[in-house]
Amino acid sequence: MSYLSLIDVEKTYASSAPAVRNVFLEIERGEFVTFLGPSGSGKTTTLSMVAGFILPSSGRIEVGGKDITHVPPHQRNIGMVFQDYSLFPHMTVEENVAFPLRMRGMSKKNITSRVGEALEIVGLSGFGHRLPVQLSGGQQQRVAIARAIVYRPAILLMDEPLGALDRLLRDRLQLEIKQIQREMGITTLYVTHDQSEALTMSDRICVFNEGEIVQIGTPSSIYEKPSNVFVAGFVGESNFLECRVLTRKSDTPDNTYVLGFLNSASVRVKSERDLPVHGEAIAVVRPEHIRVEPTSVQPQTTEVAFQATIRDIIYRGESSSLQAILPSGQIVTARIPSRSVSLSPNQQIHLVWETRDMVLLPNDKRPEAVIEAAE
Amino acid sequence: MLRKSSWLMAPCLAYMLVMYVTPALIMLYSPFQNGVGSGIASLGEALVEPSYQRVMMTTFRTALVVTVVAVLLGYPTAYYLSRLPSEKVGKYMLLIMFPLWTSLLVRTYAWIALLQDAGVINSTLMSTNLISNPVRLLYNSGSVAIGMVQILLPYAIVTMYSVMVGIKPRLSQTAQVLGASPVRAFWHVFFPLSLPGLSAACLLLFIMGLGFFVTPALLGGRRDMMVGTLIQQQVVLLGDWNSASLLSIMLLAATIILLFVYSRFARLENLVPASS
Repeated sequence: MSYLSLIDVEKTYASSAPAVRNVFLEIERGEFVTFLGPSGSGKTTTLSMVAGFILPSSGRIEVGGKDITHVPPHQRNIGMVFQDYSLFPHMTVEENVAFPLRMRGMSKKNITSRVGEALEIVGLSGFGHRLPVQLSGGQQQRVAIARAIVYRPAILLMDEPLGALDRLLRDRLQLEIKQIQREMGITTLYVTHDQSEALTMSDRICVFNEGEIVQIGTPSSIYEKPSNVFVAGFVGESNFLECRVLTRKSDTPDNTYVLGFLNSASVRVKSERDLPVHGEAIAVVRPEHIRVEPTSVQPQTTEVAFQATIRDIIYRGESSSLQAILPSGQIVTARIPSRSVSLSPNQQIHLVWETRDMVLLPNDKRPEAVIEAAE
Repeated sequence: MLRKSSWLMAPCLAYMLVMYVTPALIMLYSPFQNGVGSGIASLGEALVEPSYQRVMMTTFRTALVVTVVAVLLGYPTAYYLSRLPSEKVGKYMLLIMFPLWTSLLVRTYAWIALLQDAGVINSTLMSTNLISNPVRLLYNSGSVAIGMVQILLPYAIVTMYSVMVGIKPRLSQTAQVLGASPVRAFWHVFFPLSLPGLSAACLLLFIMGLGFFVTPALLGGRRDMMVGTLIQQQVVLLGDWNSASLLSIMLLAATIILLFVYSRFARLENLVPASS
């Protein structure tokens, strides 16, 4: 039995396309679910509907089987953390964290001990008498987290909480938030446009695009089995190779396809997806799955090899990005070790990968357009 | 670069020095021209003079009442405007500023037309037989307060708005999701954060109210004269520049003391809308 349910939730504003539609979501108690998507994809709107700031145009939101769609925010018992911290500037750290307890009419003594506990959890004991302006961004966000968990709310909502912080601090707080969430067993909805943050922290990820959830799944299923071109382009880096389905042999569970690529050999691939014969398709390959070999090396039977010319090698620290041009003119990116000194531009090579690392998708959109939208 | 350009303020400063500071100093000096001792002595006498004390009391009382009424009327408006998207505020601000562009005399005489014995209000009430004789609405502290409030209200709204607009709407949302009803969110979060604007508006209106002249002179009666009217009478009717100067010194001193006290608790910059 799921704990938080969004049932066919939709939000429409006058004179524009729906901001959010068709949102069906079942979240278990204690689960950490991330809304991932580009800005304007509807993830924050959906979160605001759970918080009660925005009333859905249609659909229902339920917590523990109870319909809360029309319950005002202050009666929902939800904790929330915003990107801009949203601390009360006229209150000290202690007063900020005590605020939700005071609103619940808790006794002074209990408030003091609860506030002390919460500040200890976020590592800010001893900062109680400071004002928010006297704290760094990271410290302010810790106070906001303490304030959001001090009353042990049923659900914690986080709207890009680390968006305003620098890289190192973000990485550290990601782990801390995850740890607090797990220890308290608090059901969490987390909004971000940072795919690596989503992959690191979530039990499940909902990928949003243009007001709809385009895929829900565990981080590994989202990354390894993207269900469409948008997800493949938005979560991690992908190469999109356009191809045509030449033949199809239906089996259970997988179908075996023979794919034809422009100016290259045909390739035999297994996929659970149903694609029409003679239809257009897109084969997705992650850069880290591509190996660079000399043209003299022949691929294994489980592998595919494409002839290509190196265009550029970009140093990226832990690895390098190799860009190569296929005979069709398409550019493919491969991840290679940084010290591959034997490679240089204009060199002829083979790009090799295992056929099982390819994900077959229907060609519903031009991948370039999707990638541009995601950026 | 910018600091070196401070001479750009010189024309204005020179003008103000000649046209404002010098005459003000000359006027303030006049009680002391026969020696500082006699000046201080006459100032002491003026402070205990019963008729002056009465006028000062009336002045302070009127300024206080007017301030409280105008701030109470202006606060909800300023609150509402500060929560509107900024592109919608402009047309409301035009409406609020409009009275300031209407001649003070026109506005004050309009009130005489409304409130006098044969005025609109009395004749309406009499024609509907609610009263048989005209009610005395004019030339008392009530008519003065009405006139002053409508003149000062725009200042109250603009001063409070400029502080309120800096209070993020997100804070009220946060308070609500943390368990505060909209009313409690207002009193615990918005109201305390709006206090600098509220206190600035109070101070500004009170100081402006102390020195009001045209409205009290035209709408007020003899019994509840305010200090501005008294100063004018000393000069125009009695030619007593000395007393006028002493009263002015008392008014100026009150203003300076108020500003000083305020600066102990809040930023003086709150008094000018541009600072936020």
